[in-house]
Order: sequence, then structure tokens, then C-alpha cells
Amino acid sequence: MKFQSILIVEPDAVLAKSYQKVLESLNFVVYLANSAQDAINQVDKNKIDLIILEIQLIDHSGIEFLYELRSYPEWDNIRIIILSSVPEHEFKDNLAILKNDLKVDHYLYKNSLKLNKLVDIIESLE
Amino acid sequence: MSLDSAKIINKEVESIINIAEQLKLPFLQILREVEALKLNNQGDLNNIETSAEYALSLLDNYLLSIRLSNKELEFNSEPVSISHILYESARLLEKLAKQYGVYIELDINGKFGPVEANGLGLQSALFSAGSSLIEAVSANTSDKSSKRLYLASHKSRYGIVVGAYIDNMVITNKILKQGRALMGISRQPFPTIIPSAGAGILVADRIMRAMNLNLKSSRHNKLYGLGAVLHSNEQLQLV
Repeated sequence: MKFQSILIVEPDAVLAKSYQKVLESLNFVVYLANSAQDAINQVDKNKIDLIILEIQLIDHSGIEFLYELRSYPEWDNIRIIILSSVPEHEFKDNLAILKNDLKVDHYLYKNSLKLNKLVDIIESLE
Repeated sequence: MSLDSAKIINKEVESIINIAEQLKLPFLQILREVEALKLNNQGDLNNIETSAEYALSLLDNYLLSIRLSNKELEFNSEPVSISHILYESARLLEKLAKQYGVYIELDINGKFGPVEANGLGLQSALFSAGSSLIEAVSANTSDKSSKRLYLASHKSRYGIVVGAYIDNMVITNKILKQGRALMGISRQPFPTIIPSAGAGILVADRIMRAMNLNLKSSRHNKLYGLGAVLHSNEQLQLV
């Protein structure tokens, strides 16, 4: 399946725009959401193939968003990359839940990830 | 070491952790813009400049707060004009606000005359609190037209309140108290309002305290925000 549309769920507008610029230049249609509720609205309104998600959001966390998202069968096939400021090792046993129950494809730590690596990972999911 | 000394050292370590967590954000913004420039010339040099300036201002204000707490520096109270302080704080915050798509509005209609405070300290505290509220309003509002930070003053029964305020969000003393307790312990001490470490609030808190002022949750008309009560300079009041 060829990805067309990506939803970036990122509370920091400056970072979100950086990702958006790069991904749009690679011909993806990019939507932005700054909160879990905003993300649900965007998924409801648009056909989304991939979500790049920060879990540290305001009010509802990214994990709560994932539980909500996966409770709808029609959104079960949306691929998920967590791109977070929370390092992976802090999740410990919960990583299994993210991967198995919530069908998260990748967990990436923002500070050690390069943008070109992110692009490679997105392309490898297609 | 006494229990009190240990507590003070712990608090200092927690404040350093909080600042370090906050500083990751502008560094990450700079890194992403540089990568975007390298990848396909999509990065924006203005964003890099603004993020770097913000990181430096945060550090400068944090160091100022430490020097004040350690009594290496002392801020003397003097008669200062609230409208001048608000205007200067708005000017300092302008680039950061623009980067986040937030408009700054000044509400300096009240004619309060000069107040007793330290101008530089007040300006640094307002800048610091304002920077955290810019992040908050940007992360909370999807509607572009309502992303606004208000720098304002009003009269209350306790004195003249000066502060930074935002729309659509509730900031209570309880949220502030919990956030203060979680600074340096939690990566996100204000989970209902600020997505990052909210270090601007910590810095504003420390600077205010060094000037014998208290940063509190405050209302301005229907807006919520952070403010401090100042007292008029009686000698310079015009009748």
C-alpha cells in the first residue's frame, strides 16, 4: 500500500511544522494535530494512512488517544509511529502493550532520531 | 547535613533537571530545522535564530534567579511604570510568539501610576512566565484566531496586579501548586496546560520570590493567567 496521508500529533507547533515541511516535500499529504482530541477529529475528517504521535500531550496522553483510536475497527489499519521526548527505556514492560495491543509499529526517541532516518522508517512501512 | 539543607539541595537539583528538560525543546527545534535545511533546503533560519535566542534568554533568566536567591545580586525596589514593563515584556516575547503563531495583546488601559518594584526583575519574570504560556496556548488551541497572550494589569483589593493571561484555559492555584511540587520530578509538571517542562514558570517564580513578590494564578476579565500583586508608589501618585 502506498502511503498518501500522514497525521502528525505534536503539541509543539515549531517541531510539527519542521516535520510537515520535510514530509510535504516528499509528496505526502500532512495533517497536524496538537492534542488527542484534535487528532481524533482529524482522523474522523480525513483518510489517514500513518500517524506520527508524541505521547506527551496536554490533558489526554498519546496512549489514551491510541486506546480510543484502536477501539474503532475502521481505524485499525492505520500505522503508528511514536516519536516521543520520553525515552523508550522508560516504558519497560509497557512497550509490549504498545506493540501488541495498540499495534504501534515503531517507538522512536525524538532526541536521538535523525529526520532522514524517520523518512527511511516511513518508507519502509509502505 | 541537616534535613533542611538536604531539602534545599534537592530543590536546586530539581530546578536544574527542570531547566535541562525545557532546554531540550529549543535544541531539538534547532536540530530539526538544520536537518530540514540539509535534507531539501526546507529549514528556516529565522526559526533557528528564535529558538537559540529563547534558549539563551531562559538560561540568562534562570542564572539571574539563582544569583538573586544566593544574594549575589540584589534587586532594589524603585518606582516603575507598569505600562513600560508590559510593553518591554511584549517586545521581548514577540519573536517567540510569532514562531508559535500566537498574537500578543497589551491591556494597559488603567492609569495606575508608578508601582514599587524592580523593573528588570519584573520584566524577566513576565518574559519567563509568558514564554511558558505561549507554549500552552499554542498547544491548546487549534483555532488560529484565538491564539493570544495578553499582558495586562488591573486593580484588585490587594493592589495592582500585573500578569500574563490566555484564553480557553483554566489556570488555578491548585494547578500551580501541583506543578511546583512536580518540577524536576515529572517531565511535564503542568499536564493540563503545558506540554513541556514549563520551566518559564519556575524561573518566573524564583525571580518574583527574590523580589518578595508571589506569582499566583490570576484572572483578568474572563481570562486566566499568572500574575503578581504590586503596590503603588504613594509619593509619586498624581492627585
